[in-house]
Amino acid sequence: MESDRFALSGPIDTPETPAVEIVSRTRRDEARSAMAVVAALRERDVPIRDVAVVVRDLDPNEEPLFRAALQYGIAPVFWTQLRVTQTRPYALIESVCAVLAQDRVGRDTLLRPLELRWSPVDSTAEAWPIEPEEVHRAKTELPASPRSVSEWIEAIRSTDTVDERLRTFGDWIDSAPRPEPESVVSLLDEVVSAYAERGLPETMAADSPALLDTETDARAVVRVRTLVQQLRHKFADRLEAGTMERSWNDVAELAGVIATQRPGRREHSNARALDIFEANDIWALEIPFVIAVGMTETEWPQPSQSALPAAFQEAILRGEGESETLAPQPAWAGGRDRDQFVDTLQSAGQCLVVTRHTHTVDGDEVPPSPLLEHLDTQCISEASRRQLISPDRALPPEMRGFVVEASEGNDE
Amino acid sequence: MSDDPDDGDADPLVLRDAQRAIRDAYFDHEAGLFVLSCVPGAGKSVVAHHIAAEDVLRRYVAGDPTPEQHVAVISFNRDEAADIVPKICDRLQTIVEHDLVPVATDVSDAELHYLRQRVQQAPYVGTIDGLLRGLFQNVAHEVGFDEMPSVGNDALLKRVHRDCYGSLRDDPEHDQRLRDLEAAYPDAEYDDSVAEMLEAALTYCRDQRLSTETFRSELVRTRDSVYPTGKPESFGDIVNSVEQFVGRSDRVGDRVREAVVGSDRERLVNADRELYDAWCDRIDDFCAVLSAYRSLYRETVREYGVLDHTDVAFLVDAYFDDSGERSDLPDSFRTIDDSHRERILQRYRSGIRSLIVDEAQDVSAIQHAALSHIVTDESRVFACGDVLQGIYLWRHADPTWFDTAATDGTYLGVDWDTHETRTATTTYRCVPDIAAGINAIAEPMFADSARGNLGDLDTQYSRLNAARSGDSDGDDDPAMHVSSFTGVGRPGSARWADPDGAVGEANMLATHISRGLADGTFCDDEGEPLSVTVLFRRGTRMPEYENAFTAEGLRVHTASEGLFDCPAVETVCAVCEWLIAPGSAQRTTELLTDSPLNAVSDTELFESHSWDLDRICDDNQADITDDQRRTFCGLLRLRDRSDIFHRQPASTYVEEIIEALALRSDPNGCLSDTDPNQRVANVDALVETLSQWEGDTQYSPSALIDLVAPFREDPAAGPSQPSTTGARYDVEFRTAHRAKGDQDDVVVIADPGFSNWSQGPHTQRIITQGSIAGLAPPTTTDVPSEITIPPFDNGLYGTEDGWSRDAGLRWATAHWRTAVSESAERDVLVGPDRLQEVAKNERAEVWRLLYVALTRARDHLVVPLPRSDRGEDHTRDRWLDTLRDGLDFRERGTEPYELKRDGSDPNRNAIDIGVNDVDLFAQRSLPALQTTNTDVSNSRPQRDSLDPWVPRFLSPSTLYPLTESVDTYTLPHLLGEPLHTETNDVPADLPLRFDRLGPEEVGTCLHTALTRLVLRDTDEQTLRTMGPKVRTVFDEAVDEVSTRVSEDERDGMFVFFETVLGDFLDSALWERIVDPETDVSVERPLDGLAEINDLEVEIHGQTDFLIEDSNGDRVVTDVKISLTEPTPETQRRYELQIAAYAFLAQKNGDADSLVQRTVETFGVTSETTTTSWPAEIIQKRLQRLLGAQ
Repeated sequence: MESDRFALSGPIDTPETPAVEIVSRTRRDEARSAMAVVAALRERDVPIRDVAVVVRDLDPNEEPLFRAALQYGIAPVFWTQLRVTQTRPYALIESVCAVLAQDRVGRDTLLRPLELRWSPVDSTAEAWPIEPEEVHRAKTELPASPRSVSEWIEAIRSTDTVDERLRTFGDWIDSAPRPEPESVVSLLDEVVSAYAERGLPETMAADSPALLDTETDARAVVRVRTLVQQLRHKFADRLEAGTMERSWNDVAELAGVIATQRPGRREHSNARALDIFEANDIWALEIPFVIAVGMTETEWPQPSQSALPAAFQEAILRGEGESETLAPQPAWAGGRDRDQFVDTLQSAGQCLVVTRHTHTVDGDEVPPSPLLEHLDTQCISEASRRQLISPDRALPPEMRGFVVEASEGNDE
Repeated sequence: MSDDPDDGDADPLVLRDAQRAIRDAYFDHEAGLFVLSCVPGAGKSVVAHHIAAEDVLRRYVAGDPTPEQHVAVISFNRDEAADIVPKICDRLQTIVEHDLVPVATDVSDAELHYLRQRVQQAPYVGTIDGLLRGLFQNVAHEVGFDEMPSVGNDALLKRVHRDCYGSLRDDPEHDQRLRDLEAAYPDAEYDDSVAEMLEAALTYCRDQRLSTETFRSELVRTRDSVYPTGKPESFGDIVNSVEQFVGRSDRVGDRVREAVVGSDRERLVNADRELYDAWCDRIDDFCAVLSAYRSLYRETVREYGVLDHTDVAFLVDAYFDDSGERSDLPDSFRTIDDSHRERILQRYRSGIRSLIVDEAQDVSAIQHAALSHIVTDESRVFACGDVLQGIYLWRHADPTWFDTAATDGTYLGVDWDTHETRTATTTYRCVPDIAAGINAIAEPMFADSARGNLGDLDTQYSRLNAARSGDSDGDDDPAMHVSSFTGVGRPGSARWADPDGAVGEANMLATHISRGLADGTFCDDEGEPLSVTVLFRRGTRMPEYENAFTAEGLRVHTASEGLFDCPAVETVCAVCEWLIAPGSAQRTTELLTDSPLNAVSDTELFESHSWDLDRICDDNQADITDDQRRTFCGLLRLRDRSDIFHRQPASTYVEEIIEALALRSDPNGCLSDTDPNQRVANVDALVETLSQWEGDTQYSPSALIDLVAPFREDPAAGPSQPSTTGARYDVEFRTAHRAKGDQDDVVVIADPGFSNWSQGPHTQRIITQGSIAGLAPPTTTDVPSEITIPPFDNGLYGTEDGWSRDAGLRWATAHWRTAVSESAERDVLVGPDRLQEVAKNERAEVWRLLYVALTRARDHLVVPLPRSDRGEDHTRDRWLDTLRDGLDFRERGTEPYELKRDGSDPNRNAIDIGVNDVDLFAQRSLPALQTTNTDVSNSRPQRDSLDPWVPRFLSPSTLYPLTESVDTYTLPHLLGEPLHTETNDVPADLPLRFDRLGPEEVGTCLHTALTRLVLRDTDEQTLRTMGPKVRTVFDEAVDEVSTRVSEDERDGMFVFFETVLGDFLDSALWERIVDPETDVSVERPLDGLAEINDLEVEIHGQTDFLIEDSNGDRVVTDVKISLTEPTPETQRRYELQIAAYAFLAQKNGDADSLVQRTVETFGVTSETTTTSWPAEIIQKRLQRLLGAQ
């Protein structure tokens, strides 16, 4: 048998960094175990930059890790692109488009921008944005059925108990221009600027001292500003190509298309936050304590998505005959995930912690990652794990020696 | 060999006897059918995994580099399916390491490793549903789906059905029929609604591949069997029907004639005729509506992008069925692209050379049909299973396929030339006493044509032969136990289980188990308590059992409680409902008073504030408790954040709800009736489940409430609560159905006294079993209930009495004929043939379920039996009597005894039966179990006490303002905006208009233009004359900021730029730039790391000019374009900026003394700033960021 192809699937040359393994039942138990380790390390004065969490794919893990971090008093940052469509600034411009798009607007659609903290660009003496309780009150007092903007203005006028500021919004809607590339940018830019000026401070005022929401909101403002600028050209192009009409519906649709491309800033601003990376970002970093989360069969490595038949891939991997000239994709042999696993191992200077869970929410078993077979880990005992996640948290005995050495190393 | 990992030791597991024989047969042929029929615990899965592993290995050695592509291994059970890959990998390793088969020596360690990796990528390993889903993926588009639908999303499927039904209700064409059906089959707690009947009929039609017309003819056939003479013309027809259903002997007809006399006969006939007509009408209605329902369902699943597993199998089968004979398929299936179909089929048929089916008795008709398409007579198929463990008839599993495979050699559409069948009777699970005990119970049970052998299936019993040695600790302690009690009330009743003031079945069992754990009876050799599972046929008596076990100090976990039947989950739902309109006083009232939050008991204060939480919190701080205030603040926080919930996944905002109300830790104790760890697990499961349901879609709170409404109403229909970590309970309660495939050290058979006829077809409105379908008669006709028709308790027809054995003459019954006629056979039921057949199959399955329950036991099997003997023979109707007979317990008391087996059992000639064989005075020292006290179940999330934000990235230019006042500048910093400090006004005489661009942007433009001119080596003459090249660069810089600057504004800026350039050309900086001895870098990055306490702050700078002379001395210069007179603050800002450059230079290893640093200001002011501040000041300034923390 040829052995070249085994290069991608053969044994991994593991570094000497000690590795410990923590096994929990479910994904969320695992996330909490991982964050309890971080908390225990911090309690032993390990600097936050000396710890990092790594996962193969943040999508299924971000939410559990985020909640687990909050449980243990850790501000986490996830090194991934912002999901801008799930943010308030984006929702705001989308909701404005929705109001402008229809001849007759329902009550909830009309009030949505105000819920999302719309304010006029030139704020008068009135306080903006309107308080949430006022918006919800308006919801109970205004009629529900759809009507034109002018009818809404009349309805607002005739309802004494409704906040005066709703009229300002109604007038603004009423005076909105037709959707041309320039006017779209001008109007939406106004909306975002007003949000940055008056909406964002509301987020900050209600936020925790670590400013988790504020940071996300600010990143979203920056991203949505860029998105609005991109809209100008793309909307003009589409109008010219005849693939879109001059409608606010199409504007919203286009904004959605641009937004879901998910580029944007990834850097995070809090010096106190724990870095949580995807494995493709870990290479070349040197971090004393690395916690690799999600070491299960289905997550790391992930199954190959290649459309090419396995036999064809294998023939290229073997490089026999004419296929010799074709380059194999490392992913075919789990190579990319494997490489990232090696990067993760190598990034850990003092101790590598690998964590995994054993069951799905439905109670199905989840086998461990085959990559763990390459690693000689010391499994943390169940008693130690229980102690770790208990209110009387203690770093597992299996890890204590590494922290002492780290401190000594620092002292030197 | 054993399927029990605990029994493993250094020796490799080796196939034996029938296991070995079927494996040999399999590898002796290139194609064929190989069937292994196994008793429970016989290691059938181990054989399947071995054959798969060896098959892969052989293919590899024969030169196939991707052998895993050709071996499909599937199982019915999801849990077991998840285990297949690791088990095959382990087996591969064992085979090679121990040279268990000849080809094992042909592979190296590296190749073994490679093979294991390949198996981990095997495409056709998992559940049957998974394999079919993969197959469906290839044809989803062809059958009308835009993209691959989600499969098995129960919540969305419920919605699909609800929408379909709703659409029917709104359709005038069907409205009347539906109303008639709803009247005929009114909603009742234990009866299917019309909506549920339609859903059941649709699933059945898909499972059986029936057109609505064929389905209709089945309903008509059933009706005709109930009315064997057609629509009754006379009383004689009624008598005739009774005689047909009961038997003509013993004066059956005479008794009816005696019971119904005079005008009652005519009334009865008229009522029967009316019933017949109404039934015909309702069958018409039902089928007309079903036809429309099927069409709507077809459209709606495509609209929502969702299917259930039966649909997938159905569509796979429909797509590949090229017979053209399917009347149940819509026309679209007749126009599919044959070449595409052939291509896919070819790929699968040539790909899957071996198919290994575990738990084959559980395969349904439609799964079997779908799988048939990918198998040809050139395939090699291994199927293992056990007909006697077929317990899923109710969800259309059909053991007949496996049975036929084993006996006739036909399977998956092929009549196999080569077919081999073996039966493995050695069990590796239980000890010999239990094996012998089960044989004593089960052998007569399966031989009895009135019990296990009642239905269609061949239930020939193979005696269990235990491979385990008994009495591992050398003593003679029994493994079979009876909990003996007096027996008060009716078996199966609540009183029987837990009577007031007496010891009932549940009490005695609880005592037996509790004391047995205390005195070591149910402990291992080290004295550690064994794991105990209590198995139920039904959930009805679980509460009584739980009370009894809890009273004995045992901690009980019930495995089958609904997730939506838990206070924390109910709270989440209630809050979501409130968030739909949090301004509504009514919704707030409901949330605070009706939900488990239970936040308000005295409503006066709240009513006086119109349930306005803002006002209550503002005005009445003193009048509300701390707990209330925390709850209300959490709710208000949620309300204020709910504006964005409609853009977020439900799983995200539900986490917000959980956090805001601290539902995992429950500090207010409003969810205290749930075990803390179970509460956390439930909340976790809710979030995960929502996440699974959502996929790529998102549900707003109102959509979510809509989605989960069926589960809130009926939690049992939704997901179950998860099992929690660790041995936190002594005993687990499970239904026997859910225990299939599992085992436990100690198994207790609970509540065996229920009547197994109580849930037969006589209680069902719609019957969908195998080839028989039936719709019960309507309940709306006027039936004279007072006229009795012996032996039918409910006369002509009646369904009111839930405890009766029949629904009257005109539907099904649960009567044995022997109860009516002494001369009748004991295995014959009363009723029309078709309905009898259904009842028999259901009954037979109840006995198989008992067998499954018994065979879960490893070390101890405990059954409760009453000492009382009422004399009546209920052996055919109750587990209890069958257990009692099997164990020969009749007339016994509380003393242990020996059950003789007379040499007929392969395990024992006699078994010791322990009766209440524990020390009743033994006390258990609690807490003996490990309990997990977790942080998450105790403490709130700490969002609000996180350490304050500290900037991680700074630039030299922002250092001053941020360290001066971090609060002021945080937002501009996060937005990447310039941090403006206080400045003087721009002089009015400047030629700047600021129409389009503000001072900041003007400064940026001019700065860019200046540095770019230097970058492009512009000479002094060009700069001084402000020639075209300068103008071009200037315009570029302006356009980068805004292309819409007016000419006048632009010209004004250019005039001012001339001043700037003049200053620049007169500066020392320009001198250094034009000095031929210097090396000039423009816009040079300069980065470094500062540490404050244990935090790291990154400073990223970019100096405008770095100029190095021939001596190596360097000058770092930053250029400022000033539009105003500088303030003292501006000066300090510049000084700190320069100090930062010094700091960065130091960090970059440059000696401070060799780097000169300046800020050159051009414009309104022209000056050079040098610094007196040392680089260390940076550290001190950064320290300010930590403030008073």
